[in-house]
Amino acid sequence: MVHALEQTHRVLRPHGLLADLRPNRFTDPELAPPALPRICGIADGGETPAGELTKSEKNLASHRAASRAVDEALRRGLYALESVETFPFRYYFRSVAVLDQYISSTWRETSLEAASRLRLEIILSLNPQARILIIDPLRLNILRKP
Amino acid sequence: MDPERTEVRVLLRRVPFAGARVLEIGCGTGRLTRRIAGVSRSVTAIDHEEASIETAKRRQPASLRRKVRFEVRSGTALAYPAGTFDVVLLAWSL
Repeated sequence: MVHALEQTHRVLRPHGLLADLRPNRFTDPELAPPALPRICGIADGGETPAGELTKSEKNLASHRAASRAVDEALRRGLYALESVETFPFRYYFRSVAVLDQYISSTWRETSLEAASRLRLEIILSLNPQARILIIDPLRLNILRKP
Repeated sequence: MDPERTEVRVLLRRVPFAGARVLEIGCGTGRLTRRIAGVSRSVTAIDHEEASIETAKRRQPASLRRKVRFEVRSGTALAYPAGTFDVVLLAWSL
């Protein structure tokens, strides 16, 4: 991954900007636990927590490696860190079946644990207007090439 | 997905896309490309998945065709001259 940051450094003009946008799993890659996507049921403007999505070890290792690569690029002086912004990215699903389909087609390294599934099914059965909300914390690093 | 458009609002606030030559790495089906291309001078949008690039090309509005170029390419094989871009966006791809 440091190689990728070397490549972007090469194609950037002097003082150009690198914007690194991705899930904010690890504020510090050496510290556990990761920040996982939160699951809620939403209805009538209120949110009911239903747990967290689980990510595979491979997925978490990849995010940890990305954070370490940025740290390494900063240490080597390839870039200077200008700013960091974190913000929530929201996904909405009409049903557990639709969420399951999205997990199998797009979030292949993600799983919905049985307890969270049960909570969601209860929330949705109590209110047909309820929806599923997944809140994933994102991070935007702004890095400047010297 | 992100109906509040928080992601795009943060990007447009934090990154000086206006008038910039932009390289977007990991463009997928062009979800972000279409949003940033309007203000940029040009966008080269790459992804290693051919199917995603084909979808991105299909979904691209005619008004952006002269500004945006989609390519099947890995982020670790950037065959562009040094100093080509003002901004590089790693879109969920590092």
